[in-house]
Amino acid sequence: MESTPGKETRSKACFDMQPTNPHVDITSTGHYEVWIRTVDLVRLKDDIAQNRSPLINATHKASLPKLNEARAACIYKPDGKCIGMMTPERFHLLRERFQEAQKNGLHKDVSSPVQCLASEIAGLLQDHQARLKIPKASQITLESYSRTLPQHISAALLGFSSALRHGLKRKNGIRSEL
Amino acid sequence: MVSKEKMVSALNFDSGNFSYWSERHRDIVFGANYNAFATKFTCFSICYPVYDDTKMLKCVQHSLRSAMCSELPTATFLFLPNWENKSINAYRALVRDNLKYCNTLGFIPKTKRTYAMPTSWKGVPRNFSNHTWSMDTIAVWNKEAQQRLTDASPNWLQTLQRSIPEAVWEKDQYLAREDTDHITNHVCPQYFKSKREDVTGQERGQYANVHLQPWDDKQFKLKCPNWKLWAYTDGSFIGKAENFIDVGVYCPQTRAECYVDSGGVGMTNTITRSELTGIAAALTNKYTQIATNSACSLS
Repeated sequence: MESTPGKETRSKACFDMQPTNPHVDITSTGHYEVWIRTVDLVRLKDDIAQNRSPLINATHKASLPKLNEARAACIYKPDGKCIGMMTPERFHLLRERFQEAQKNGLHKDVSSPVQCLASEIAGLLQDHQARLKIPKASQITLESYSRTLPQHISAALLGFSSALRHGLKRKNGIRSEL
Repeated sequence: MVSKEKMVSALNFDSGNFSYWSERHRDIVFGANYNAFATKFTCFSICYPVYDDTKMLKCVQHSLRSAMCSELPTATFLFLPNWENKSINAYRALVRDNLKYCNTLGFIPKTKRTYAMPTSWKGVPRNFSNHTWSMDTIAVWNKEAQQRLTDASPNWLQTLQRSIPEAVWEKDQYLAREDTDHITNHVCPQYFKSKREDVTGQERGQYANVHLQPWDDKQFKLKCPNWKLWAYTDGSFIGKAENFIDVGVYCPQTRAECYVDSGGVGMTNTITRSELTGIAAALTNKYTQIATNSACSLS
């Protein structure tokens, strides 16, 4: 039964029943979107994650997370929900490769038509997130989908590759694809 | 950063490579090649597969067969975990039994192992669990590739040592190659020989230096502007102990915390009561924008 003061409060209130990520979700645009902006990343301190007290009371207060600001490319569904983020560097790299592939005619080789860069990146993120939930795969295997070699290791091999390419052209002039 | 990168995805390929191979077919729209195992590896590749023993074994096997069958200089540098339990490192047996083509160049000890920051995430970048393994650096290559590398960069191993100082390099094993030239027991199957070479894959083509249109950095309207001014409530119901606080209200802007005992007893002590008490506490504290994770409380 509705109480009288409750009725007044309810008449003034606006309720949004849609799950919302308050710090990134945007109002609906009807299109897939990418927005590069400064976001607040909530980070649990390591000691909180490992030593979380099961009991919170006046003496054992909850440990609060830290907020870190970072630039990120936020990827949005048409309804404005953020489905993931990526570093701006990765986004621009994907944008560059997307345009190259388009000009090289590779977009004609895919079964369903390519709509736009934002929708393709959204699909990429959703597939990646689905892959991280593969049943029966071990935690180590799932995590390895996100583990990437440090840059300096790749860079070390770049030196060989360059040397080999230059060496090849100078000595033989064959197999220019090297 | 080497010519070709195998077993990666559009989310983690290296920006310096010429071409990359992904397991996700749709990555073609980002210039990827599909399915590294569909073609013979040729020339110089880097391969950092996911930690799935079957896939890692297949990678070593495919690299080995490619090096054996190709007339081109073919070398694949693999980075593979070395599990503590040696018996499950199937790929190591393959390396050990084919020293003519396979060399463990070195390893990065588990205490010095690091990873690049993830390039994408949902919510927050995830923290990885602590690893308990070292990582082997394995070269699977034919003689032509070794010769080409030595000609082009005679001190390549020393260069590698300087560039990746955290690794322990097994120089002796590499130098002992002349004595191990006969060690190989792997036979390349006929079907593999007929595979296409990966030089026909989609390498960066004539538009590699395509002029990028400037990014139109549109501004959008946040659904919850000033989200830090909101009050966030959450209730819990994990038992009843002395001084047990079962509802929390938090405002990020002021960092104000409020702990509430919903006062439920017996059958009235429910999670919905806790959640509603949190919302009531936020209203009592004059918060006008409140977020809850309880749909039941709003319906």
